[in-house]
Amino acid sequence: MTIMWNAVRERIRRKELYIVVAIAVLLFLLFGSGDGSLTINGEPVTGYESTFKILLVLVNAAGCVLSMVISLKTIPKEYETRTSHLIWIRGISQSRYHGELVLANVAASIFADGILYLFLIGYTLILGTGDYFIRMIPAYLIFCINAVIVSMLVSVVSIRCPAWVTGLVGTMCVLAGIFHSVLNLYRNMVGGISGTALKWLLLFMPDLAGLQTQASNLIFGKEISVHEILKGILIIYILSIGILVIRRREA
Amino acid sequence: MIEISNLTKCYHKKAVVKELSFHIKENETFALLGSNGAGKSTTIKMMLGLVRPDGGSVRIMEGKTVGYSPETPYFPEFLTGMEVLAYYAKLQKISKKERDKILPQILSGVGLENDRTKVRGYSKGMLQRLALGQALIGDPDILILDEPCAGLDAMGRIEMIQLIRKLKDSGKTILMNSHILSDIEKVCDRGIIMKKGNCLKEWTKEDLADGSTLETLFTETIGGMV
Amino acid sequence: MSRKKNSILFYGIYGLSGILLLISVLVTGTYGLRKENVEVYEEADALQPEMDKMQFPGFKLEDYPVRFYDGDSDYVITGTKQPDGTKLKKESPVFQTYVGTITKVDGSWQVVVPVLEQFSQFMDLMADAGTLMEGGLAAGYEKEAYGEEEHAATIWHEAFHAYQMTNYEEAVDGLVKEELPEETGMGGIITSKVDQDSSQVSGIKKELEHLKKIYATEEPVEKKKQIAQYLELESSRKSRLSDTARWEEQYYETVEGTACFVEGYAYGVQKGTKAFEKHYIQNCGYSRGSGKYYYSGMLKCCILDQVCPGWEKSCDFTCTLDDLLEQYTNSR
Repeated sequence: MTIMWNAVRERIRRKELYIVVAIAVLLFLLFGSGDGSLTINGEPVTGYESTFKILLVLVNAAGCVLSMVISLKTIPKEYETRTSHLIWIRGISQSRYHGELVLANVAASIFADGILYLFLIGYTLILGTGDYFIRMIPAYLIFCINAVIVSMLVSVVSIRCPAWVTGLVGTMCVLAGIFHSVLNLYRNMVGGISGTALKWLLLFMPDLAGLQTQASNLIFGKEISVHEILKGILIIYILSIGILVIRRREA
Repeated sequence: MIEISNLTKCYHKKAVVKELSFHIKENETFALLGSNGAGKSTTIKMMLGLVRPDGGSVRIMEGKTVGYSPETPYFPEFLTGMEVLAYYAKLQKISKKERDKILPQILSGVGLENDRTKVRGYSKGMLQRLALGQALIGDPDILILDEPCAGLDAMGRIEMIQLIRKLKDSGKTILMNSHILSDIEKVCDRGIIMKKGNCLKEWTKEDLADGSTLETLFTETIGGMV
Repeated sequence: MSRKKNSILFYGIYGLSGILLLISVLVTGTYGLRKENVEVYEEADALQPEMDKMQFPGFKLEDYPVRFYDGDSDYVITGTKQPDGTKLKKESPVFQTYVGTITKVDGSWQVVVPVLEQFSQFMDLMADAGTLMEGGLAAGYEKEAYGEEEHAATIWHEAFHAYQMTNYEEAVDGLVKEELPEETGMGGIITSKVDQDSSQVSGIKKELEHLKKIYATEEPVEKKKQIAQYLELESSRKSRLSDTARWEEQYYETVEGTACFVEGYAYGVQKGTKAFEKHYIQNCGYSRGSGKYYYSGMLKCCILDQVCPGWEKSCDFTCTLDDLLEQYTNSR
């Protein structure tokens, strides 16, 4: 895990994590202090549960975007700076090399997600109840499956594809994933060719919204769908096969 | 020790190395000479497996280990010189005990201090030395040095050449790639002169025995193809 | 050799864990129609004895198969009183979109609704966005959870449309005296002629408030007086409308208003009168499109229920709800 730890250390020194902390602090100041307010349909959203659900969606979205940003350039940069040369000549397989870099991305993404999630915990402690707080800890494990999926997807695509393709794929996956249930609803409302095209697109996009809903259900003591969680883990497994299979022709 | 046969590489249907053949004997210091774009770095990368050749073969004697010093080394800026060596040593599965013993020797051997200076504070010359240092981890039998003197000032070049000579005297087989002819002349036993992917001439130290310089030989060879 | 063995072991465990993961995903997945939807149907069907009190002649839910669309297929439930019990059959979807409506299959009318889980999501989305939609929600729709009771009520709404088309298709078509221009379509005239006219809009708003007031009035004499006042108010407003706009209004009120009344009735049976009044009566308000007539028609049905019990027996869609109210005011 030498390559992984080195990559993690490098990440700690980069600006991305400061941005994460800044976002978390901003969210906390806006909503945690009670000065921020949301209105839906002209009515103020009050009540802990309503606000918390919306914040969970925001934190999920922010976490996924950050995971994408953190993971986008890691592997391409290794090849741009030719750091890869000194790894390849040491007989380290591409699977191991890329795998450890992907793990570093995943670790950084989970960490960034954790910082955002801490804000939610802080919000719960101030405005919520003790019950929610206890359940938030296992819910975090479900929650960060999303960060892992996005991070791995972007990392695996970046092994072979140029940055613009990786960015495009990552953005599509994040948007389609976060709005999966809404898009699914929409495709059935529109029907026809658009509906069919959207159906096929959504088939290949991970349902990030579904997993976030399970985390939310766990926190609020509702029934969780094990199927959704296992699906998320299966996606991670399939992406891990990508690390083994996708190779670069040259360093 | 190393056998190159009909090595070929094309980029965008343009051949950058054309059916190149040469061999390097054990304990020999061999040079690849040529102007920019001659195909020297590409040849080295094909030898190291960093670039896939489109034709030909590279044979390195079985059981021999290879160390590589790149032309423009990139190391994590937040690490010290020792930490960089330790990183690569770990990748080569060298035990901690062994690392604690040999890494300070390597570092001092390439003329670097074992202090807290981060790589971001290194000069170009220090980076080149560090590159050579990491190539020496594991005491490889073969050293491949890509432009080891690139970007160095006069003193830096002198020190680097002295280092290479020491390594040569210790029995290592060295392949060097450079376009600083005077440096090559000082350390190398044999070499080839390349242009546009072709080997124009193979030369040995005997060719320079009559008082002619490598520079003259190079100019004649390259000039003859204009 | 040891390295090779380790490699084989690693890939073996890796592959096996993948297979186990895949199997667990397949095993935990739901296939076919979720049981909640069957429960919704059975819940709706169980309301039949209470719904019979409405006295629409021969109106039975079991006569109209219900198609639940889950995004990929239709799951058709055909009655509960068959010799072999409730029948559930998977078929290709008739509409590849989420919609609550009716459709003719093999010569008979069937109800089409989305599965509960999707419709619930859809209603949440609409409420959160505060969206107004054709045939639907009044402005300021209060966000309430859409659950099994609401979905059962929706099934009754659509089943009533199937009942209308099965028994009174000609009369229903006759509510619109002339064929509408193709480019306009149903609803198009309402949005272009009625909703764009500020005097019409303010008139309709007044009428809706008046209807709510009539509904709430308990004293019969006062009630009759208010109905007469209402009919005058409405007549005055409608006189300024074109024929086609008037026909459209009466079409929606009569056809959709009665269906909305049935829906509300089913909702009230399940959740109680207070819940019905909160969810339906209080939410009656102006909205763009045909949605307002659902509510005005429903209110008129509720008022008829109060002043003319059993009015449903004579409801054959050859006359409008206004005609029935006028008959009442003209009577002793």
